[in-house]
Amino acid sequence: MVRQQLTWRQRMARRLDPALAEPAAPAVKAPGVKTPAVNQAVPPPREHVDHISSQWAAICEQFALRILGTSYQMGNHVEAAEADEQDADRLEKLYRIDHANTRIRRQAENLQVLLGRKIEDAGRQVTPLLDVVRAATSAIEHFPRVQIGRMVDLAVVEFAADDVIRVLTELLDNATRFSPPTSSVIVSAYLTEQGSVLLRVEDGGVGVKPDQLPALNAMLAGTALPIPNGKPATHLGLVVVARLAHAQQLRVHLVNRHSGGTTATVLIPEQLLCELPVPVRAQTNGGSQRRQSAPPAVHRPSAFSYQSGAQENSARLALVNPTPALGRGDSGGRAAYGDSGGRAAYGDSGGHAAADDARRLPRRTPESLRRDHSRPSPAPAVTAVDDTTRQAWADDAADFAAGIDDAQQRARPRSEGSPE
Amino acid sequence: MATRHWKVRPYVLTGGRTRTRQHLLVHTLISVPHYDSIFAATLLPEARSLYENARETTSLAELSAHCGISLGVTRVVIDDLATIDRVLIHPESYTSPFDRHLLERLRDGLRQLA
Repeated sequence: MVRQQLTWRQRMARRLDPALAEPAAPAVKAPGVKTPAVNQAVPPPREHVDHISSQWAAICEQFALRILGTSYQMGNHVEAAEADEQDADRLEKLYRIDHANTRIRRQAENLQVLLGRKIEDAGRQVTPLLDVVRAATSAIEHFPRVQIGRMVDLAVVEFAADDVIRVLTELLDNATRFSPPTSSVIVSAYLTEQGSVLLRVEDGGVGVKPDQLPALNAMLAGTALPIPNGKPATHLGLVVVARLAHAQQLRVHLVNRHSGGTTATVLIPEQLLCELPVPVRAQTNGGSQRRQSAPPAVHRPSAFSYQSGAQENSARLALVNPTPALGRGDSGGRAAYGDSGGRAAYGDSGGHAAADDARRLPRRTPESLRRDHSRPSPAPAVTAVDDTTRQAWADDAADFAAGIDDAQQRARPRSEGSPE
Repeated sequence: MATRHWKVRPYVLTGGRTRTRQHLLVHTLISVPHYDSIFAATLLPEARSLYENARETTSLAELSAHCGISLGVTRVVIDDLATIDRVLIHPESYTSPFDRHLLERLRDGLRQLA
């Protein structure tokens, strides 16, 4: 690996040395193919960047951004293909492409982290811890081996979610990489007394060398230099973790268990946590709409955000829809904390029938699958809905008229021409 | 189900599996024989939303669209639920009255003509 770094750096240096005017040309060429080399060679530049020149940082950042951009693009294409695919074999191939692309994205993000740049993540949102874990799992190689244990039903706020995902990605990657290929890695999230959340990643691997453990923990705590023993490639992921942990004030710790294996813990401070985003499944009918519905405001009792959501959606909701309560009541451990108040009353499963009726009604309307915005609920005469349907009708009528005109014009020359 | 983070890729939801033990088509009808809310609470969000929405007999495609879960994931999850007898896959919905072999020959013949 060391040799590879050298060659990469030499190549890069040679390319850059004669003329810095055209650094763009090599970067554009097949970014996907280049990624591994770039990633493996990242930290040495980072180290040098601090000392030697800021140009390295700029160049590397450009690389990272381009790779990231390409990966986003590819992600969109793959996602579109996945959505349509019905054949299991082809879907599996698409999944593999998606998986590889996800890892490329992760490495490009890590590159940016190591450069000390703040990553502009696309589509930030309040992310439930379960999704944090699954997003992190998405970006590691041996994802099927990750098992999700007990998960507290809380979410990470918008601005920290992606960093927590990145931290967990690296920890999971280490855990799966340095444990037997048949063993599973268990992730769980617990609420502490202080209101913070402890994420645990438990593997059954050989464990970290005991003499290295203090240095690594010191690095993760931010009290030691990022690279303790001059071998940057060995703990690449943890360097990323240390950086992000410092930025978001996460406390990351590694422990060797006596029974074998390593446990990595991440303590997510209270201020980075919030309630789960309000479920929008009551009124969602399709993926496109799912995207549109914005996540609720950060760090607010979700009752408020629910109400604001209800105001926006009042046109398609049948009055008060107790679906958030449905989500709440069923998932056992959540009653223990969070905003108490009137909503606890919904907690029992007695609300189910009513919730379901309210939930079912809109679905049966004929347009429900086709149209997102104009979903006339059957009973209430809401003016907004009427407007939209009227508008739709007017549009249809206009289209129809245009079609007739078109047909007539097309028919006219033929009828005129026929006598000839 | 709340909006899932886009970084949660579909292959993670199924552990990378795409194949199903049972034959599941888009129009295959699904229902839940005995709804169990305690069981529902133990499920992951996707499985749970599918399980809850399948209480009324629904086609697979409709379920997928309604829950906002891609068809490939829906099929695997429903298949998993079916193997532990939590959902029922209605068999008559995919047994065609026509002989499959005959139809394939007919199709091939038509292709040759075209």
